[in-house]
Amino acid sequence: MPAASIRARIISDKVAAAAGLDVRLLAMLLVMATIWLALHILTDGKFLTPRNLFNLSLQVAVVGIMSCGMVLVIVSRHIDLSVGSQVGFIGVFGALLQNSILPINGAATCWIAVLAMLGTGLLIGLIQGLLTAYGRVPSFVITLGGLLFFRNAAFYINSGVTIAPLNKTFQLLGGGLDGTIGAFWSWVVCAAAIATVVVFVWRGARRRARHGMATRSPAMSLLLIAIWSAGIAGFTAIMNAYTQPKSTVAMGVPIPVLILIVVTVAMSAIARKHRFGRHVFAMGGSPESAELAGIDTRRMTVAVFALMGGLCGLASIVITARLNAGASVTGTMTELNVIAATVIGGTSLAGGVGTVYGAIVGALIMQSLESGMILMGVATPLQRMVLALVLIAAVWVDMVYRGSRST
Amino acid sequence: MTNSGTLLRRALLAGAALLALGLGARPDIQASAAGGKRVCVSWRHFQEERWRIDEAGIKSVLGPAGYTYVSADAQGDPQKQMTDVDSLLSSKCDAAIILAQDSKAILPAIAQAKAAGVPVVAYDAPIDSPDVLFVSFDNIAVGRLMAEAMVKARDSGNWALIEGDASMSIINLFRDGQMEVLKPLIDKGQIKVVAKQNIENWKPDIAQAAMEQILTQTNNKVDAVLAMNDGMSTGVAAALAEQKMLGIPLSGQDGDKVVLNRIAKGQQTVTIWKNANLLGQAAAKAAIELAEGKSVSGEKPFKTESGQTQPSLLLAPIAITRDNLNLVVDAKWIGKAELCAGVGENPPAACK
Repeated sequence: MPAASIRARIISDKVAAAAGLDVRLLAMLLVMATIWLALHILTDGKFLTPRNLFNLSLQVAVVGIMSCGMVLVIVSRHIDLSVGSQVGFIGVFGALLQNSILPINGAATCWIAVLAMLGTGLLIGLIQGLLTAYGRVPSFVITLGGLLFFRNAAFYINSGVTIAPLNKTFQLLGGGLDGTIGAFWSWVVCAAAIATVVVFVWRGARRRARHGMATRSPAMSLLLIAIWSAGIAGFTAIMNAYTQPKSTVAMGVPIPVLILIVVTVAMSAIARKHRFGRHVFAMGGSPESAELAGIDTRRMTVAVFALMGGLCGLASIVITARLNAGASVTGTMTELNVIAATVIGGTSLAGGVGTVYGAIVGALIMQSLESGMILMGVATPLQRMVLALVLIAAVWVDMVYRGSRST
Repeated sequence: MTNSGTLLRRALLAGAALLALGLGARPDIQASAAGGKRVCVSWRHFQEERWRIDEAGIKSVLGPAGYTYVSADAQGDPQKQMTDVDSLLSSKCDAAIILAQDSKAILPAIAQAKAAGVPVVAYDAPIDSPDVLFVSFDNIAVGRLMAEAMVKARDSGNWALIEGDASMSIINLFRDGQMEVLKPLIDKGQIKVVAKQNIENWKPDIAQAAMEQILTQTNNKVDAVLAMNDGMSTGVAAALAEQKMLGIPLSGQDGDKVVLNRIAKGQQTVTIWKNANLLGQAAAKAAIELAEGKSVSGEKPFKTESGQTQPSLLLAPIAITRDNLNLVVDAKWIGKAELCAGVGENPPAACK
């Protein structure tokens, strides 16, 4: 690499570090913005409309929720191939529970089903984690078994018969016609989110000052708050600009999207700030040194898989509620979409490196291309080919970027 | 992806088969009674729910005709199916019914049957040989009936086509049948195809997202959705419900209970139903005719994958619409309570 470009890289890194920004994330957002603009032009102005962005946010929720967990799984040098099958199995189980076991009407049915589905996910993850950590069987093999087992179990527990309709309250969790929080509450959530950003930036600055670390200038902090607030308010405005069919009633933020946002923020906090997350990264970076440093890597592994299972339960709730049916084929091959989103988002398959935000952006990029190409009327095989190329290109660019940094 | 999946499955199954051989297990052949004339049936994967219905149909014909039903299950492994047919033939069969796992890998077994003078019925799935009688549902008719019922509900306007997985060649047969009906109307400009999407693995959730995008792209100006199976139609219905459009003509295939209920509620137009019991009966009748050296009534020539001609018996599937829902109830495919759940005013005849 020529010296000039290295110098440019160093300078840009320094500027970004001073501003407290993640260069990689910025680059990905830039790529996504470019893709969105291109799709907007190619679809004759249909892509960047409230309606399509509303669709997109709903469509990305399921893969997004699972990607948050997959980041930690891959960072800890494991893989979970069973996530798609788990979603299918838990979905059929949850639908059976509502439709055949509990009375179909009433909110209680919904909440029992939700708890049972989350619990099932956690349990599946726990078992896979235990087998991986204490049985010393590679997670690839355990979860490959899980993939086959739960895909067929999904078929077996109801002989492949699709179950519908589902509980009315449960359907709301899928973000259908009534599954949004409406304009007023959307603004309330928006205001709360902005307040949280302000508190975080302020507290972060104070903590840095207390520990004598380099602080950003007050102007930079204000700029950061402004960017975040604009983003949050803009998103809320878009969701509110989309109205119910044949009326002027604003839809507002769909419940699955709210779930995705909460999961993203929580998982990101766990990954970056919480001791558990730090240990996972340490373990992924070097399992031996992590163990020598007194980290119980086996327990961490179990926890990571259990968390992944719980998120599969959550994703299954959203996908089943959204479809308003428990179908055994649901989630087939979704594991590949989840892994692809995570990897496009910069998580290294070698372990130790990755971000939750990145995975969400990765999922958004994939879903944008997919949804955009349907709007364009691109033939389906061609869509898949494009997505495959994007996956390879994204990882390749990332490798080049990382390679140039380590030298 | 599908390929690697199949490969993996095959590898695992091969492992399981080796294990079975290692334990000295002989193919588990089951005979319902000893002696007399026998029809041998080789299933490719009996664990799937549907084949029990076929089996009941076969048995219902063989028993009264004085034939013994003998069967073996290949458990999804083409290798094991070869051994199965081998063992069945050596146990003396008057005719064989084979549901092949692989249309070409089974050919050596067909040659063996021919040498032994045992006539073979290729059941439901094709076998690429001129020496067998192919008994199946007419998949072109599936597409045709689907389109006919849809055109009856709405013969103009903007249509969206939701097709199955592009990697499965059977969708070409369905499409050929659909186009027999639709092409003239499309050429006249009466029907406009505003969108066409293939759905990966026929998944309902993918169909839902695709339909959301199609409705966004056309600004809800879709008058009918021709979906190739019931799973995908469930996804489409969810997308239509989001736009309060449930009730526009929508098709499917398989007779899913959920879909039959939607038809009763007026939320879907048609599902193509294939009564597996009837197919089993037809195959058993043909097998007996062949065993007795008679010609099979109603057989027609059929072109195989490699272009060879084989005799065939293709059953017409049935289009189930609001008007003939009683057929599925009478066949005990679905209970009346399940069919009519949530049906409001103006119930279909079957729910009265």
